Amino acid sequence: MTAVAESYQVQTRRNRMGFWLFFLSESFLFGGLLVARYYLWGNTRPSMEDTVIGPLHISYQVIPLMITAVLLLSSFFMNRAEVAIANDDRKTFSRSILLTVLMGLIFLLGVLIFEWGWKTVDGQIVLGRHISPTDGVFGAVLYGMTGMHALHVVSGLVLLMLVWNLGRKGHFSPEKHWGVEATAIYWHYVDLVWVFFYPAIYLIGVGVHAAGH
Amino acid sequence: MRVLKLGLVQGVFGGILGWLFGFALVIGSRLLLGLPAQWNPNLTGLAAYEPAVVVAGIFFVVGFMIGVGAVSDWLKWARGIDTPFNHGARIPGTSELARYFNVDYSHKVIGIQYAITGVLLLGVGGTLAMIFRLQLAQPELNFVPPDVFNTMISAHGMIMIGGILLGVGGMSNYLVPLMIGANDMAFPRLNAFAYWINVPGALLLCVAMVIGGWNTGWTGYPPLSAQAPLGVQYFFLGVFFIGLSSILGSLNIIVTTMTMRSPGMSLFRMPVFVWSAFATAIIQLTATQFIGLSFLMVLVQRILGMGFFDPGGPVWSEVDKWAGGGNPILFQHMFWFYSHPAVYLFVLPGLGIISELLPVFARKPLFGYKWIAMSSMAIALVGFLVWAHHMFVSGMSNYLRVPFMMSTLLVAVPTGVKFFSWLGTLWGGRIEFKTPMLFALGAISVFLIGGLTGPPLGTVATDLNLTDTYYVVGHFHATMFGGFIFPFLAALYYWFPKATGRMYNERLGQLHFWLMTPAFWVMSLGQIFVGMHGMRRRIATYEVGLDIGTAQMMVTIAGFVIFISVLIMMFNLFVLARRGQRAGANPWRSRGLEWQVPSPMPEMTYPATPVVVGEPYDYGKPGSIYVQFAPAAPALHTGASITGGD
Amino acid sequence: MEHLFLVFIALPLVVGGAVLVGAWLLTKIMPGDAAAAKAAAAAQAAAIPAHGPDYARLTPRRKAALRTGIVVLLGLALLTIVEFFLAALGSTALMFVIIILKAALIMYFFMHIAAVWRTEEAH
Repeated sequence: MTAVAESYQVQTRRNRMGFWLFFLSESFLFGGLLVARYYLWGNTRPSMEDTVIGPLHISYQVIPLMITAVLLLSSFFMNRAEVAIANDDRKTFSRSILLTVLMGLIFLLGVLIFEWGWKTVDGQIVLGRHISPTDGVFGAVLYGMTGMHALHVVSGLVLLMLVWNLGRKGHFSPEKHWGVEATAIYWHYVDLVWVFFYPAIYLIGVGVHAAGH
Repeated sequence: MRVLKLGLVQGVFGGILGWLFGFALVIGSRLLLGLPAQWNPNLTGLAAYEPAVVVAGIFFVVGFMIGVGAVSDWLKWARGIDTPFNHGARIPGTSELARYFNVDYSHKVIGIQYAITGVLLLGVGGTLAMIFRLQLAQPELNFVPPDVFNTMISAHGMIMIGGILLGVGGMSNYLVPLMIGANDMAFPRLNAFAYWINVPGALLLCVAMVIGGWNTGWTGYPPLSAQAPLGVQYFFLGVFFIGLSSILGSLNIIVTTMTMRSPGMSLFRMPVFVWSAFATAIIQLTATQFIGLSFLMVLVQRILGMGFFDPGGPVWSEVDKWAGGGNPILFQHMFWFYSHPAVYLFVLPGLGIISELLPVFARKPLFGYKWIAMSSMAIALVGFLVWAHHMFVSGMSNYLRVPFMMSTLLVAVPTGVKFFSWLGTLWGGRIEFKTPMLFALGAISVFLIGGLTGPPLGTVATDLNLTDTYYVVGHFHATMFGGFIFPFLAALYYWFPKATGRMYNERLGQLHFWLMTPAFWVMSLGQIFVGMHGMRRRIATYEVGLDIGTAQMMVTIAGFVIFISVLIMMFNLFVLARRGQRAGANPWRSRGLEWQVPSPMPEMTYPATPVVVGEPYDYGKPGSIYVQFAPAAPALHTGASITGGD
Repeated sequence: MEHLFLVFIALPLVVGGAVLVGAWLLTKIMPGDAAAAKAAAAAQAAAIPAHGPDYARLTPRRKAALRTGIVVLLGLALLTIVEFFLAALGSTALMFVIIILKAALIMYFFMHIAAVWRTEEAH
């Protein structure tokens, strides 16, 4: 048994390259979903402008904008956490990570509750306030895209909690914090995907109404 | 009881537990919500619980990976526990053989695990082929029922593809680090994970045959696959996880090639196999996502009713609700965006092996090294632009036909470069007809059949007549045998002495070749012949009136001869070679890095750093040196390092 | 169910709190050696500054990094709002330009794509 350990810098460089290759691969997955969206929806999208919600009479169209803003903000706090750990400021790191997690959760719930309209009716879980997965291609693509993205948000949240815990136990130093860096670029990648998804789902194309509304 | 401690056994056990857990989870939550346990009361057996079966299949894989121990280190890292990276058996006191049944981080062990699993899968697929070839030997036979027949051809297709992917993984994992002078891959743990996830994936593919089968062919086009029996779901899942392995494995290959080459090994001093493995990895890394996504989309269409591919009645704008609008053609685009480049990823490593072997046995420099290296990259990149030639009759827009015809025919250019380089290398060489060389030459002859039958399929006018006939089957099998099977066998024979330290029986090896190659010519040309005489693909039998009974019989007989010849190889390599004569370090007088160390190789292949000082293929040039070994650095003995963990 | 909007504000707080409590419980359970972990945690608690980042103590480099982060965030927010109103104009081409711009900002400043080509750990 020969013990071998590459220097941290060399291994981090390899890890970084590997992680970016993973992103390249993932971008083909999300690109495939975008292909499906443009192929099946063309220059249309399910309209949400007219459906209002809540006592404030907010149009459904505003909710995606809000959760997009929350995700952007979370990306900022993630960046702040990374800068903090690179400067050995564990307190700011810890707080920033928790804020990131909170905003990630708000984003997730925004998708689950407002986008998907996930609620229980008569003890059964019902999906689809304004649109449900079975509503033809509109429902399928919308749920497919937001679902695949939400899956990555959830895994990002798990990673965030793990590095928060490790950082709390003093696992990272300014020189050695690949775990934080990996989580950070993963979280930014999730944001990056949403940069492409948000306009594709909610902005581009002519809003089409489901008759019967 | 020591058997129970093996990773493989524990993995299967964990997988079964995971399956039961997943199934109970879904059914339990349904019952908690007050819903009936069955989704579809009209169906019986597992088919009535389809979504639960799918979730259970995913948990099966998760349970397997936990049980086998492929994620143990990562789970420890998540809790802040560092795990040192050790070369050698990870569980002290186990035998050398047991390493192959446990999670092991050495790329040499993983490469052999890949190759053996690949051969096993190819054997399963081949056995299926033998069974349905019997049915096709004569017209209007009926001893395999039509739906079983369709399940068998579908399973034959996908299991063979799984086997090929594993074989490709075996070659690149075993050879790339050896050839670039590294002691391991860049991410050994990821490497082990990428191998082991194939095992539950392959198990799912095999289980799919018994839980209802699927009658869609290996392509799984909707709408048929959206209505096929339950087995199609495990077919999707199996392919999905084998694809995940492809992605992770190729990522590893790319990073290893980019960062771990020996000093002095510039890109154009790499062995050509590394170039082709690199090109393969680019395809695997990116395109594989598309087959995973397309299968996932059918999967959710079946269990959640998301109608991606379901035209489902009138389009939304004409009726009073959002319904329908799906398009099955989209599936074909996404499927072939992977599956055509996939064909190149199957053949590129094989073509690399041919280029690797010819100079050694012709004792001449490789003709046009840079052109060969670049042609691999060109095939990989052009391969991304040709997918729709599978869809000339699918009903896609007509204006797409001609551009895709042109890009398809463009692939012939880099492939032709390879052929001329092979001829140039052989020209005037002093050729030694050893078994590996015979298989390399056989590969060229067979790949030529596959290559020449390609343009009629890429050309729209002829393809409209030939599509979905046995001509396609003949073409495809010729490319797969010429591009993968023959070179893979050549590689097995060529590196066998390096890996085991023993020589195989040369006479049996020659017998294997002389049985297999003519039989394959008969089989391939026979398939092409019956295809041109009206035999369609994927039908369980054919009419007497087609008058192709004799040709079909010859194809079947040839198929059995190939099967028997492969059995001879297995006997040769796995049984006879145990008592074979000892092979020296370099029985083929190769210039490659791995041949400069003893056979079998030590755990750390290169205790002294190899330094590349010359060109790789200058055979027969007096005084030319490829590699020198630096004196062993003292740091090595104190535990500092050549390779690292991930 | 028309009060979902209020739920939108309240639920994240509730669920977020629950996750935090859960995570805290998890960390109580997870360390293998509770006593050692407690001792280590105590040792680290001493090391963590009592107050947050004292802005005066920030190194110039860190200040610059924080400022970059804020500027990029504001830029992204602005672009998103422009994008939202562009949708009303229906200018898809311009929207694609904005998407690319946003992606480039994120990849360059947040994801440090340039670090892939850097050989030494610099930040």
